[in-house]
Amino acid sequence: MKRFITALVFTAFAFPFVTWGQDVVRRETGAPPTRESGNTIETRNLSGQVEQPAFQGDEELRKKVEEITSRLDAMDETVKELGNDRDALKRIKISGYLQVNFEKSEKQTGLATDPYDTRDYIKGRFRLRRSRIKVQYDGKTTTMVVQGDYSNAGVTLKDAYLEFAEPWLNVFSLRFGVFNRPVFEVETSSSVRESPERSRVIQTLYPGERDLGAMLTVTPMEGLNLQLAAFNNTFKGTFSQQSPNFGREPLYMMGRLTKSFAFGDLGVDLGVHGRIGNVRANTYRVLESDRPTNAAPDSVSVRVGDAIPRNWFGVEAQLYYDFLGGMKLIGEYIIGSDVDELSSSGNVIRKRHFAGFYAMLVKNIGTDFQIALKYDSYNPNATIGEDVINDPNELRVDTFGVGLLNYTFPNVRLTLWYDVVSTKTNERILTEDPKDNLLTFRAQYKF
Amino acid sequence: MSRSFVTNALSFLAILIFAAGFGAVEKITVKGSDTMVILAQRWAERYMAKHPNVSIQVTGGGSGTGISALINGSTDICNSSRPMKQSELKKLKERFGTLGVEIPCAKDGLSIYLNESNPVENLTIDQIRAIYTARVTNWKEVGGKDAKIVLYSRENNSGTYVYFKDNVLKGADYAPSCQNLPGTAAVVNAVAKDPNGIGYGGAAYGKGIKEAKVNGYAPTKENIANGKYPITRYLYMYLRNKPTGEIKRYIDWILGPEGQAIVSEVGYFPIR
Repeated sequence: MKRFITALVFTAFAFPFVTWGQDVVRRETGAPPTRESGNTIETRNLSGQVEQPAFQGDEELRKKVEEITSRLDAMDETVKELGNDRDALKRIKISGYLQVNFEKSEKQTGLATDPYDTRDYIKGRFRLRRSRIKVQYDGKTTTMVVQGDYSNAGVTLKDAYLEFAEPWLNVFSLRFGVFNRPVFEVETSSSVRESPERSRVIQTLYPGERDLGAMLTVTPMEGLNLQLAAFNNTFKGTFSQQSPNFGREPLYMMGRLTKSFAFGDLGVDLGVHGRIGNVRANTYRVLESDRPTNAAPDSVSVRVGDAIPRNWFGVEAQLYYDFLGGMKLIGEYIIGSDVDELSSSGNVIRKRHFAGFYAMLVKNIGTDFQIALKYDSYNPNATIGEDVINDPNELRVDTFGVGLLNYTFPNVRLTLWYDVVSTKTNERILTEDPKDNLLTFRAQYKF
Repeated sequence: MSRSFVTNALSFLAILIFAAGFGAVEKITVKGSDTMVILAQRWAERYMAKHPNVSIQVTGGGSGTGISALINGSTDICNSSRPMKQSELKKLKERFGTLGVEIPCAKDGLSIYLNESNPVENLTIDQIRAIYTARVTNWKEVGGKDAKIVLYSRENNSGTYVYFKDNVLKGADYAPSCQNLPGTAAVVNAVAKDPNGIGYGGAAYGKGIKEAKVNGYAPTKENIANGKYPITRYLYMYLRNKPTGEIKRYIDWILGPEGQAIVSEVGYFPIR
């Protein structure tokens, strides 16, 4: 296009000189100027007589200039239209990432569930962990996002939401649809997070990370952010799951408040979040883990329809410091009461008081490498001692992870991570820490 | 987990951290603001002439493009004609664990370009905002001839675009009819050809058209320096970390008398 415009402009400038030169030659030789019939523009004087142009060449030159000018105008219009089309296309943003793992566990059943690889008794395998494409349309104050996970089993919907922001104060925005719940590690994509998986407490409380609902975001000043959300109460968290042991309770609420501070080279982000909501019992028995009865299963009688609270509260902190290339220390601590169903005992609801936290230190090594250390702890029954617990899945688990990350290749991140998993033991149900350490190598591409 | 494993791991970490402190930088990449690209090239040329062992590669692309390059590690220095946004700072913190380093290196007056044939000489900030948000669409409403106003702007990856939106339009959206052009030179050319056009951009590019007074003040060196001209801004350099080695020497030179003299040569205003 540029070449074409340049050629046209060049023609517009060059043509007068070419024709002027021809005219001079003709005048010098006395040859009559060439007349192009049918295209001559006549001009008349005040008495109505036809005026002959001073030189026929001037007339032709004017016609040519007019012709080229009109062509350039038409081209201008075309370029404007193309510009408008391009601006419209730039509002559509496509991004995505792909993660392929090689995982090796110490034990034969230590690998994460993979619906595409149902082989039993394997200790090592490749796994396609993520294959996601996100399409976003940015209107001026509105956004629509759809994200799918693509696998050989089909497409699974992940994000699907619309968002609009008020244009007057630039303080409030509203989001509707399926999206991440407002918690730091939940909202941190695995394409950004250094550890291969989220912490155990986050995975337990927020399976699938997302839910269906609405969220109001308030940003009254730079660095201060409030999120208030309501989600469908589908118990397990993911919008497709509904336990038959629980009756309908329309919604649960979440909120998160964060504030950023900067002290020279040190950045500190602090925040709190909470979840409030009940589930309704569809059964007659509730186990309370903070009662010693959990040791020899006993229950508290409830009536169908009784509200069983599922509330928790969390604090978060992220520290960023420009030390030898930069480092960060992030962590969260969450406590509260969770509700689970004890499928092995029939229609029994289990209510427990949990506590969980994680802390992760990430240090840059130049621009291409990072090293990370993570400690993660989740105790599903924080208010009773381990010795009375009789379900091995209800014992506290601590995980220490160490990893090396590489960013040498554009868009590619390579991760080598080793998790040392320690499960608390007791005399009753688990006398030895299971061998379930896990080595993960991950290749990720993100655009 | 054995004690020797912990010892070995910590030793390995210590070696890596120690090694990271030693990285001789001979090649410096600079990317970002188109407004600053001539200034940055002039700095680089003069510095390389004095330091032949240093190679400085300067490219434009817009402030947003430069900040993205800083975040993904593909440039050492980002030039930006606007401050970094919170969303960009968040990405930098996520990836590098730092808040970045912001270095104001020059001051710029943003000129309002009018075609030379336009009889309007002065506009207020409110009038400019009304024009760019389509509340005023005819030149006669601001003292000009009876003709439709044609709006020209920069593209949205430009720091100038963002600065103008935030500070002149007070966050309001540009009128849908506004034509976004790649580079301030393109805006100047468009206004120079269009008798009804209006555009904006850095003073360094303001040739071939006339610059309107704003609130009664022309974008002169004096008016910008004493703060009477209302549309002024800092031009920034951003880094991921505190500068060290050759990058630090280069930035110190830019902020020194020689670098700041080049700021004036190019048509901007020194900060020192």
